[in-house]
Amino acid sequence: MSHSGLGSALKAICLGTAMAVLGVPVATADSGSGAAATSDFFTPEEAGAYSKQIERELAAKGARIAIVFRTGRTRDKLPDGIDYTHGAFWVHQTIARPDGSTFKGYVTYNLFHGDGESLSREQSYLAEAFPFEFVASSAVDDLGVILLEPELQRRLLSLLADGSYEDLHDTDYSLIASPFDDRFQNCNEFMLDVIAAALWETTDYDQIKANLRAHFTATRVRVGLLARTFGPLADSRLKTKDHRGQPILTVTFASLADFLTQNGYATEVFKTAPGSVQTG
Amino acid sequence: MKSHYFATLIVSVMAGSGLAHADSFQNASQAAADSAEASARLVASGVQVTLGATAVPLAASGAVANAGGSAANQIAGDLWDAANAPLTVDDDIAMAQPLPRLNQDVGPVEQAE
Repeated sequence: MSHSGLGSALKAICLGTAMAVLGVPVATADSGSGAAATSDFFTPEEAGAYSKQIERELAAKGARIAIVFRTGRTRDKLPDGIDYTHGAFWVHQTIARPDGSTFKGYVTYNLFHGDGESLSREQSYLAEAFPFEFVASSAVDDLGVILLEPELQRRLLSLLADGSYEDLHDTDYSLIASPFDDRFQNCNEFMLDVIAAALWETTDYDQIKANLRAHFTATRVRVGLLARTFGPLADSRLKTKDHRGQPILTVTFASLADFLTQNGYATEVFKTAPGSVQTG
Repeated sequence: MKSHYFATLIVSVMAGSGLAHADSFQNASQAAADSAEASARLVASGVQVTLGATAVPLAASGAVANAGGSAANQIAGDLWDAANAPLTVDDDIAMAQPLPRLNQDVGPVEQAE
C-alpha cells in the first residue's frame, strides 16, 4: 500500500464496506501459483493414489498435454468467483529414474513466484515438477481439468519442446495480473499467453495481448463480505497499475475454460475427486 | 485522491481475502522436509516411489521429437502418430529428490598433488 496509515486504512475499509453493502462488485482475483510444500489436506498415501488416478484419467482420455488447477486454500478463504489458486500444464512424457531407466507419466510445467528469500515475491520463475507435489498441495478434494483439442495440444507441445514458451514468461509477478497488459504476469496469465501463442502461431507478445484484448473475456471477481476487508493491509504481490484504474480482470480456471470451450479449443472440462471424476 | 482510494481499497480487500498468503510459491526447504517424510511413508506403504526423477526433455524424448527440427510447428506427423497411440502411465510416483544435507563433520578437502 503506497499510502499507509490509519486514515487510509479506515477510508479503505469504509469504502469497502459501502461497496459491500451496496453489492457493488469489488474486483479481486488470485492466480497464485506454486507451493511444493504439502497442504496436509491429503496424507502422502492419498496424494500418491490421487495423483496417479488423475494421471491415468488423463492418459485414458488421450491427453498428451492438459491444463490442471488446484487450490492451496480452502474455498471459504478465496474470493467469490475464484475456485483455484494455481494452474499448470500437465505433459505426458518420459521420465528418467536416477539409474537411467525411464517410465511414462506426467510432468507439470509451473510458473511460481518467489518465496521472498531466494527470490523476491514480486518475481516469478518457471519450474517443472510432478503430479504428486501438485496434488499434495491441494487444500480441497477437487482439481479442475481442461482437456484440449488435439491440434492445440500439438502446437503447445511444440512450444514446450523447442523452449519458445519460455520467451513468453514475464518475471514481474502480480497475483491479480491483467491478461490484457504486459506489465505483470501470474501462472494463469502465463498459460493463457502460451495458449494464445499456440493458437495464433506467434510469440510476438504485443500481438498476443492485442488478440486477447479482442477475444478473451477475463474474470471480474466480486468481494462482498465485510470480513474480507480486514486483515493484512499490504501485499507486494498485489499490483493494480496494469488494470489502468479499471475493475480488476484476471484469468481464472472459469474464464480460461469458457474461452477454450466456447471457441472449440477444449474438448472437455471437469473436476476430479479422489476415487471418481466429476464431469461438469 | 480518487486513485489513492481505489488502490488502497483494492490492496486491503485483496489482502484481507486470504490472498496475501495464498499457495503461490515453492517453499524449497519445507518442500524438502515434506518430500522426505512423504517418500518415506509412501515407501513404507509399498508404493513405488522414484526419488530424484527427472523429466526427459520433450525435444529429446522421442514423444515429441522425430520431426527433424526444433522450431514450433515442425513437429507434426510423427508426433501425432505417437499421440494417437494409447498413452500409458507407469506406477512410479515421481518425486524430486530432497535437498541434500551437507555433512558438517567432513574435514577439508585434501589438495590434489
